[in-house]
Amino acid sequence: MLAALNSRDYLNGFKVQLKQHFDLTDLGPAKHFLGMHITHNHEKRLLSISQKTYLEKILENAGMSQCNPVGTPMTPGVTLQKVTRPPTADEATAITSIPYCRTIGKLNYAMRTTRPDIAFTISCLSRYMESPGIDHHHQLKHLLRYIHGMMDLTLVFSSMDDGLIGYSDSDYAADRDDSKSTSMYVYQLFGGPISWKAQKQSVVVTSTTEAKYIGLSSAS
Amino acid sequence: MHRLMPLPEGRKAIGSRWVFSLKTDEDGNVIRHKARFMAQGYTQVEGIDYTETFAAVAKYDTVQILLALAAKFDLELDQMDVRTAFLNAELKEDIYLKQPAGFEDPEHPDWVWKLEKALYGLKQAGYEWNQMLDEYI
Repeated sequence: MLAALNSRDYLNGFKVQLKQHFDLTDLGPAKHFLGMHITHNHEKRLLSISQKTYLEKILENAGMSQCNPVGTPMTPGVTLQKVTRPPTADEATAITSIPYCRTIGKLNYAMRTTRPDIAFTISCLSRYMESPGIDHHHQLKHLLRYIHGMMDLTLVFSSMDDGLIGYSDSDYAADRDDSKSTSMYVYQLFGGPISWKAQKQSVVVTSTTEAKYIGLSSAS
Repeated sequence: MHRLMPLPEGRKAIGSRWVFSLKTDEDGNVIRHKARFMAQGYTQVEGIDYTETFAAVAKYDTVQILLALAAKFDLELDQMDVRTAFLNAELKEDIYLKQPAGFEDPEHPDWVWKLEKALYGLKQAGYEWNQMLDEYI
């Protein structure tokens, strides 16, 4: 349970009241919540959240703790599609060397909590969970290398920044298999993102305008 | 929290079991061995043993907004935990539990426990706990 109040005295009063009713453990200033690491710097008036330990564990489980970092979540210019031919014996061994579904599932949780930067990649990769091929395996490894390089990224909220800003965009018919577009949006409050999503649209559109309109609609 | 009594006619008692788990800290080190006594809620019948099961869960976006507000207005952000939360909740329905193995009453081994508070595993445990907390706050 999290509680935020504007003075230490009020907060303590609130906890005393709760304690009269429930057997309450006071964990003090919030540090770990739902797998997130929270750092609140009162002097600089910054609050940041990160998930380094969780990400390190994902890399370790995938055997990628020592990998070379890269600066992009996906290889630029690559578009994935469904597997068209059965993998060769070598490819099959490579594909099974990292559990595809499980790793993406874990990364998906990290994406949902602190990593909007990998939302689009996760959206693309998770389309092929049913039968990942060698290309999908390579992209997953690329993503893990990106994670390794960008491990220390945190979401930062600051009292200097004002207001709510929303962004929305979509690609146009980028899925090779069904020609559907992908919408993406992110909302920022006080400098940090609070809500984001990348999701393939459910219908086929005939223009970029239509694709972007659907994207805006799902963002609102 | 229970009362030992004979099972009323027409009712079925539900079973229970122990669940053991390891609690780890953020780095994965074992810090506690936990044992939890669970009701086997899957044997509960809707309309008799439970009616409402919906329990509100915090949306992730809500948590994120709270954190943003804490940063903006320089709030004190504290975390707390209610020990064995579900065991606090009172039950609206009459729930009868078979006496767990090893804890049978020697005089009335065929009697059952009528629960006075919720137990982990009961279908309505989350709902009742949420109702209680909500009412208080």
